[in-house]
Amino acid sequence: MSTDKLLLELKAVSKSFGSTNVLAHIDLAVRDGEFITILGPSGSGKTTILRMIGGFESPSSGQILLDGADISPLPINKRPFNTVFQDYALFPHMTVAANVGYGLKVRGTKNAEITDRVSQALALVQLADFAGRYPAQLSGGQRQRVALARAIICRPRLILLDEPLAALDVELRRHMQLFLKDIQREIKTTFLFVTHDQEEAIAMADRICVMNAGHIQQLGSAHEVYYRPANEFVARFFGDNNLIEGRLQETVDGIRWIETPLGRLACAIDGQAGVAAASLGARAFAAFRPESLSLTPTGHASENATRGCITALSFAGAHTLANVAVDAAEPLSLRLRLPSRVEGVAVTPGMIVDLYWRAVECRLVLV
Amino acid sequence: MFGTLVKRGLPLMAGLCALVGTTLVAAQGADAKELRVLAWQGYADEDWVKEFEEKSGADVNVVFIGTDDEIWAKIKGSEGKDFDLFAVNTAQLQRYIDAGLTTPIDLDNVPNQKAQLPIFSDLTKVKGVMRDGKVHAIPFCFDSIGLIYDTDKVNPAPTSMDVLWDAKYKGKVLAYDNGEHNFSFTALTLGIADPFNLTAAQMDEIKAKLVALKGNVLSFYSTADEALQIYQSNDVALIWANYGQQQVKAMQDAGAHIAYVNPSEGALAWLDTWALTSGVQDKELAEQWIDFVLQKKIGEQLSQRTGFGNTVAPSPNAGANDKLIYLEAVEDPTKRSDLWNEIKAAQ
Amino acid sequence: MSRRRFKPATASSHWPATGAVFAFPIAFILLPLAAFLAYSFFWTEQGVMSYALTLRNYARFFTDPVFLPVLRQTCVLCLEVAFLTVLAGYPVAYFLASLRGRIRYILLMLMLVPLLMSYVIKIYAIRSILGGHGALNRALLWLGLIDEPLTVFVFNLNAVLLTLTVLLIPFAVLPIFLSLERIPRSLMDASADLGASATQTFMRVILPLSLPGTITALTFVFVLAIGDFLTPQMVGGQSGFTFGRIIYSQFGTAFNWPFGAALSVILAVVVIAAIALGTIFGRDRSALK
Repeated sequence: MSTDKLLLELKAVSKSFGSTNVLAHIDLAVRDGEFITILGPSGSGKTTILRMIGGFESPSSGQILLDGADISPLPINKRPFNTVFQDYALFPHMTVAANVGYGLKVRGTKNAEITDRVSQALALVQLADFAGRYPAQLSGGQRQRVALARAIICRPRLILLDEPLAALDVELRRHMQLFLKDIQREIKTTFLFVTHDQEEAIAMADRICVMNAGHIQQLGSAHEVYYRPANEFVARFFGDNNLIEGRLQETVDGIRWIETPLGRLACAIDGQAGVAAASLGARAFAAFRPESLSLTPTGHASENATRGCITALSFAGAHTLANVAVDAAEPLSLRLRLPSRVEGVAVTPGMIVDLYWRAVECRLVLV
Repeated sequence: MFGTLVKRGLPLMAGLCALVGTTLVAAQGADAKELRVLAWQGYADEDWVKEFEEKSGADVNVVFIGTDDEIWAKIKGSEGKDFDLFAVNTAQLQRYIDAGLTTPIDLDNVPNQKAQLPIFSDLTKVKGVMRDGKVHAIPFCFDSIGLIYDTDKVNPAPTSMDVLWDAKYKGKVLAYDNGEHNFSFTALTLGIADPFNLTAAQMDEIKAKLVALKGNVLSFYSTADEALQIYQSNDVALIWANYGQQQVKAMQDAGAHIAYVNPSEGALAWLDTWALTSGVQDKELAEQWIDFVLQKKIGEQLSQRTGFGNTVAPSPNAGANDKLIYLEAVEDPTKRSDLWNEIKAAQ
Repeated sequence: MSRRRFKPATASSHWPATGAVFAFPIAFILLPLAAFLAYSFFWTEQGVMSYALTLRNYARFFTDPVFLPVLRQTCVLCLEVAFLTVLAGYPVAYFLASLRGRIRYILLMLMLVPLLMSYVIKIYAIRSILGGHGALNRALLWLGLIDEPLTVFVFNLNAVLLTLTVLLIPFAVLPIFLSLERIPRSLMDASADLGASATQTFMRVILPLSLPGTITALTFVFVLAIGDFLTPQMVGGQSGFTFGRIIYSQFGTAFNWPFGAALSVILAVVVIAAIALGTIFGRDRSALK
């Protein structure tokens, strides 16, 4: 899939509209052939990055390089990129075939070739029978696929996707995620996918670039971002972490200790050079997920433990989420996620419980 | 029709004031003698009404009309019962007499009639006002439809409508957009004795003559304002003046170097008269009103205020030697109108 | 998101209101039209109306040498007016639609201000501009392009064409603007994104999508122009004779109401045909969503 060859580089790119800074000093390298997702809440600047790459906006400062050459002077229609728009932006007065063939048509491709390539592209997105329809006669998912076929037919170096699944219902969205991923593998083209949905990002991306407030928070594989959040924002944005603030202690056998109101907690630090190098007494968070907590010690590895009282329960089908008040040096509340295996057992409000979690499921996030 | 267009131009405000004024007066003394007048704007001004009321002790109710058809609707509609007297032109008057909607006037009650200008005082010479030896209406005011010419451009002064066809003035002639009048005046220009009763052959002759006139015409106008505006922004030398002195006055006020002439072959003219309705309640009072407005003072004021010629004091509308041909109902207005359309459509 | 729609009250539950809703159009639109239609089958001779139904008025229209050529010439003129207004109005609408924020609506309102002014006054004004001593001639003289005032601008068919065009441009701008405004910005982005130049985007996306509005504009202006008798009357001079002037003369001077009604019915047929054509060609097949 992805090679180490760089396709596109953003160097110190900033963007402001009037006095509002939307993006500050963005450095981002996109590898040839990868599926990279830019993930962030609305207003984080993720769409602006996409629009600047596409040429719809120009950076206030900084450079965008394609194969090492600055593409700032290239107008939209000269950039070897194609976009799948959030609202699909299909031409309502053209048939599906005409929509898909548009990019070839305006480049002066011969009609016979257009016909061939349009049928190939439609076959790829499984819409071969819909060539003569108009966009208004298609469902949301079908329009989505037309937009994709239209974008890939010109064989762009990079396909930009601007929250293309946002308008679809959950079921269809899951299906389309897999579909997009398959297509990307098949055509071996670089995809830059913008979304605000972390599950979507995790399901599809080779690499995720987490954005907030115009800054890149973390860039890494889904695993890296999920298991080793670089900062408090990423830790909160991904997976509902419990965050307990404390001060860093010494490192023993690859485990770094942190002094918190819950007492000394043991945290794994593999793959986190920054955390390993942080000085003694530095402020940090211990981050661990609600599903990492168990009510019984799981063998020798449950280095961390605390006791608390169940204050609230919320049943959510596959699991039940519980709030646990911990009587520590200062009052704390932890979230606990239990699998709902048997109806109405496990815990009830008011119950005193012991909680255990392993050092490998407890990570440190520098403040 | 001509009356309609002439009187529409008069200021509306004056009319409103007069209306309000007369209504107030009417409200004050409902039990006194009452005179109900149907007239055009400018024929029963407020100051005259007031003076007459003081003199006669009667209440005067004036209703103003805007079109010839409106007069007919009001008089015919009530079979003459709603009004005591009304103003009407000599051409229109005929259908009222035909329908028995008028009451003959006793000239002994209108002493000022004898002091009218010579061309009006001999009622036997004024076509249409008498029938079967009885006087059905008395001339009140008139205007001629003459020729306006630009004194800087037209030399010497024209004496006939013939000049409208002069190739010298190609594209500098303003004509009036009305088939009926155009046939009448062209008939006079061609020397036809009765311009209101044309034979088919005469109509063909006139049609050809009017098609020829088109070549000289810059545009056909409908209102006096319009003619003035066209005159100001274009090179215009001659205007067939449907609105007569009214139009002359407005143009001169605007600084135009123009003069007015009634053509020697005879100028078309309209003549408005006062007539008593068949339902007149106080005949003597109505005759008193006619006598009252035939005073020299009122005639002069009328001419001054409206630009119309009055029938008691000399006015510039017509000289003593001018030959005025009062408009009459024409043989077939529809036919004239259709022919006029053909003339306009002709290439 | 579901779109809210205006739902008329059902006839059974609100019959007085429904009755009123239908009574007005029936009383003030349908009945007068029906009266016109009825009148067109009467006949008048020497000012006397005959109420026996006859087709003589229509026969006269088709056999008389005057009416058909004038109707044809008027249709040609109004088509020219329609095309000129669209030609002039399209760039204006395009410019307005390309503006962002409040300024676009402020300018749109300004452009519509002339519609608030009296029609006659506007014709007067245009006629002064076009006249022999008018601003146009003076400007041309001042520029040295001509040596003496030209008379080709006023009191002929050119003048009718020019005046109607100037007067009716706002009616062309509005529907075109509305159709341009409805085109989502993203379609132009998508077109450029797919490699189209600005010209290609205009020809292949913007123009076809604004076609319904453009055809509405053509129809609208044509219908307004063909029903106008005042403009030809005032600036047409002796050669700018149109069908509207003939109809006017039947009512205003000839008092031949039946024939005037017949001519009006014929004009209405032309207008309805124009609207039908406009509907067929301007139909929005794609139904923008």
